[in-house]
Amino acid sequence: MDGNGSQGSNKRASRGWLMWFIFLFFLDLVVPFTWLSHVQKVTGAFLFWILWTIVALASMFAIFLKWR
Amino acid sequence: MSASYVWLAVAIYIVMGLAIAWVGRRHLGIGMSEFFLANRTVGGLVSALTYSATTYSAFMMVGLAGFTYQGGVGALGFEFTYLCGLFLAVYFAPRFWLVGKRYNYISPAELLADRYQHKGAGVVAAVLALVFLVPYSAAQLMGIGFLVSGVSQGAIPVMAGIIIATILAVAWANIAGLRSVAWTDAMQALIMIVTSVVVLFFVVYLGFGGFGSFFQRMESDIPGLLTVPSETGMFNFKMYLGLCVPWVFFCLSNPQVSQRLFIPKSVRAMKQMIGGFLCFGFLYTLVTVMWGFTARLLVPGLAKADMASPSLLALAIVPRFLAIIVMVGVMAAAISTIDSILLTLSSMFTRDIYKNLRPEVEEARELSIGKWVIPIMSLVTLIFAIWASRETGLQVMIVSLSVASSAGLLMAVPSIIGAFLWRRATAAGALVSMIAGAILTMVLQLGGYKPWGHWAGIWGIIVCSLLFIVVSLLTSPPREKAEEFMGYLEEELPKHRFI
Repeated sequence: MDGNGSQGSNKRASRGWLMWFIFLFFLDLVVPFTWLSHVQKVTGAFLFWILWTIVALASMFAIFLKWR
Repeated sequence: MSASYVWLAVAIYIVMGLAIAWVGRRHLGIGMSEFFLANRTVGGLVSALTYSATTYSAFMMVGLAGFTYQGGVGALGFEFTYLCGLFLAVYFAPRFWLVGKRYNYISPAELLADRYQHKGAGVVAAVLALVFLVPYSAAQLMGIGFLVSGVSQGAIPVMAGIIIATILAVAWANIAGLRSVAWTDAMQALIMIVTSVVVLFFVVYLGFGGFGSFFQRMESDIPGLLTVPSETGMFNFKMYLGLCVPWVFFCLSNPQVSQRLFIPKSVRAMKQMIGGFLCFGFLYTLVTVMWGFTARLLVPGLAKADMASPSLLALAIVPRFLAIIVMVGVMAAAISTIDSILLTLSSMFTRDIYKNLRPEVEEARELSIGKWVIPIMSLVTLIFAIWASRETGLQVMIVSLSVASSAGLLMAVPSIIGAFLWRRATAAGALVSMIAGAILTMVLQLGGYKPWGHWAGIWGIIVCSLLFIVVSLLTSPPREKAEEFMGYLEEELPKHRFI
């Protein structure tokens, strides 16, 4: 792949990941304050935020493990 | 607990820290880059641990545990949101690292001054850091004071802890610059994580009979703390947003953290730094929040939420020696954050303010001035901490103090992002946005104003971003520098598979 090609593919990857993380932050702000706002259990917001973080961290690992 | 055991533990910690710092001094070379960045040769493990210890400190075990104690599960979401804001570090760390090496930047403010071709941009960013990192450092000192006082059950006063921490932070930063800071951080981070996990297991198994029973008690005794907003009214949506927004950008806005992005010796070391920090952060956050919940169940009714962790450590079910080690670990972590801040502020004052006033100054003299800035800034921080430690209530709780500081530092973020991503960004845009944003944030913070219920950081970042864009569009950018700077990155990033 030439220089312009790899730069273009890089930009597409950046935008894709940016959209993904915006979606994750949207979930972070919406889910606990709406669907889980009356769930007074450990399986409510507590578990949601743990799982949400695991997904976000896994996404970050997927990005930087490719670095060379 | 007998004060003499606590003093003994503190004495052992001081000796160990001094020994490590002096070993660091044996490797110390000459010059600013060596003193402030360890010559950009820090390995992955030490980078990860120093990043972790600099970020996670008293505000976690004392401040966040207190926040959980008072407000419940929202504290978990807030802190995990910060951790996931590390997405920004995954994106920007390679950029900082590449341009840092190419242009030999010492501080993030120097990067702004060079990229925007305007010394004022660096000066303003440095002044922002000097002003807004004072409350953050003071929060660390307060954490130590509360912790030592709590664990010794009042035998050692809050003030003694604060003064010892100040003296040690100055010493650690001065002995070998980043080498002594990073190496002591590494040891302290390991103590923090190991002891906090062990204590959590002790408390959960001896206090509740296991995690299953602990979770059942949470649901039966404090169900109102398992939702947002909580039953106490904390963590409503606007408060959550006001806390999270400055925190998400923490890795860019806080110069003591973003300066760490210059130090890894290789791509591999940078990967280890970020990966190590993410694992550390996940575990440490979870443990800290659980500390807060266990404290709420086992020692309810505390007048001051920041005393949750110290009160937990003072319980009979926590072995005394372990409580003391945890106390030393948290104390060390807090000191490691303060010394990192002092070191960064020192580099920013000398490189971005003093050198602009005296461009002809020799590097040795510049470094010498920097070493004097460390005790002066520590004195300012000490005075602020003494004032804040005498107050009570949410306004001066440690996390609130830290967030207030991050809200002010947030005003540099549009300029930082613009420097890397927008060729049209200008020095005027950076200057106007940082100054106006900082003034607005300070007015709102000091006046206690929350227009339409939203916190200062939210209004600050909205106004600051708009000003940055509008003023940049109305003024002329440094086209040649922007092309060279961003062209270099566009060429280099794909070579390392950076996004």
